[in-house]
This record gives sequence, structure tokens and C-alpha cells, in this order.
Amino acid sequence: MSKKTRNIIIAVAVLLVLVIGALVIFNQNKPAAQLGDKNITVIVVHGDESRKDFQINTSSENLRGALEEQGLVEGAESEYGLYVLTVDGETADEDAQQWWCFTKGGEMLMTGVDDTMIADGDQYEITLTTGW
Amino acid sequence: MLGALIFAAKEALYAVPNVNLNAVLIILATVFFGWKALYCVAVYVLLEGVVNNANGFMLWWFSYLYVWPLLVCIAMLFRKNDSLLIWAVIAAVYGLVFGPLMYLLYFAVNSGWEMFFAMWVSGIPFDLIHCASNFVTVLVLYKPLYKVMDRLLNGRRGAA
Repeated sequence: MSKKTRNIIIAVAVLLVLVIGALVIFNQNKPAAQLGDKNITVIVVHGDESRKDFQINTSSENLRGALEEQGLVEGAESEYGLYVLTVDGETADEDAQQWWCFTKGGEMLMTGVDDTMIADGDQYEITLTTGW
Repeated sequence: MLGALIFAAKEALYAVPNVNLNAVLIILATVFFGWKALYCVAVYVLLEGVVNNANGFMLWWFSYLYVWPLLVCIAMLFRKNDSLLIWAVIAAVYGLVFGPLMYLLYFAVNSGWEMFFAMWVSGIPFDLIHCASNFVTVLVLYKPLYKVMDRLLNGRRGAA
């Protein structure tokens, strides 16, 4: 076997190991979906600091589905899922560095609305925030 | 020019997430120009900053300041490689680690390992797409683009 062929085999083997490793890590750590009906609370804090509470009953597995069922959010599709621009009729003004901050029980969400799996009893806050 | 081409190609493929020609073009730039490929990367990153950060520089742009030059450094290590498959594997591996490399900055600005890990795991499907697309684009485009660049550069030297 020539040195070049050996190097190619090693390179392809390394790639395969990394890909399989990534798949294993993803499968073991991906958020688990809860099936069936769930009751969640969504608190929207608008730019004028007014607050609206929504009690949502949904069978959706993720936050995006639950919010879209109620017509609460609109946005643009991105490579990471829905980038939320409008919540409860108020659109963030990106020129003024406004954005919608999603938290769960006061803690910043670590995933987008597409990847946030909801469970019965969860509470989410969506706050219009200014400044990157 | 190459920096602008990288940017234009990325914008043209914007609708297809994590599919772009960045890796194959940066690798080719490094093969032909060596460390001067960093100039192409600088132009590309600058264009990303000016065009896609019109409302203020986002954190991801600062990640670009080290992520793309790093590819030049890696390509320099393998500059003498003449195997198409090895270039394809290098590009594929880079696509796979692109996500965690980008998120390192989020960890550095005090978001912590938990946030880094959560972002990495949720991004793995996109990293796998990036890996596959880099592998295919290098396999398909490296040789044709190499010939074009070789002809352009040698033709220019021949005229001089």
C-alpha cells in the first residue's frame, strides 16, 4: 500500500469517527419531547413594559409550535430555526437594536424556539429587549 | 477579488443553510498564494461585517475573525497535498467543527460551558450538513477551480 493511499484511508477513517461521534453525542443529549397535551404559561413583556399572560394548552412538542398555534409569534426562517421578530403584534425594531429575549422561569433559553421542548407546567417569558 | 468572490458565493447560496463555497475557495487561495490567502479572508470577513452587520457588529462576526484564518493555517499545513480526497476530508472536518469553533467566543464572553455545550449539541445537525456540503463541494469543484486559477495565474505570468 502506498503512503498516499494509507494517508487517504487514515483521513477518511478520522472523518467517519468524528461524524459518528457527533451523531452519538447529539442523540444522547438532544432535548426530549414530551408527548400529549401540555399546559404552559407564556408571559409577554412589551416595549412599554406592559405585561400579558397567556395560558396555552397545546400538544405541540416545541415552543415554536405552541406559540404559532396561538398566532403569538412571527419571524424569519434562519439556519437555526425561527428568528422571532414579532410577538403578540409588536415587532422588534432592529435598527434600534431591539430583540425578543426568551427565558424560562427567568433563565435565558439555551436553544431556539424550534429546539426548545416544552413540558406541562413550564413558564416562559418573552421580553422586548434593547441593545445587543 | 477572491475575498469578494467568497462573499458573493455565500450570499448566492444563502437560502441553503450551511452550504457555501467558503472552504473550497479558501483552500484554493491558500494553495496558490500561501499566507497571502489571509488577505482574501480579511476582505471576505470585512464584507460580512459591512453588509450583514449594518445595525451593529454581532458576536458571530467576531468569531469569523479567527475561524476563517484558522482554515488558512490548516490548509498551509497540507499545502503540498495533491490528493483531492484528503482536501475533501479536511474541508469536511472543518465543517463539522465550525459550529463549536464559532461558539467558543460565546463561552469566552462568560456564557459558561453549559451554554456552549447546549449550543453545540443543538447545532450538530447543521454542522453535519456543513460537513457533507464541504466534502461534496471540494470533491466536485476543487479540480475545475484549480485549473481556472492555474490558467489565470500562469497566463498572467506568461504575458509578463
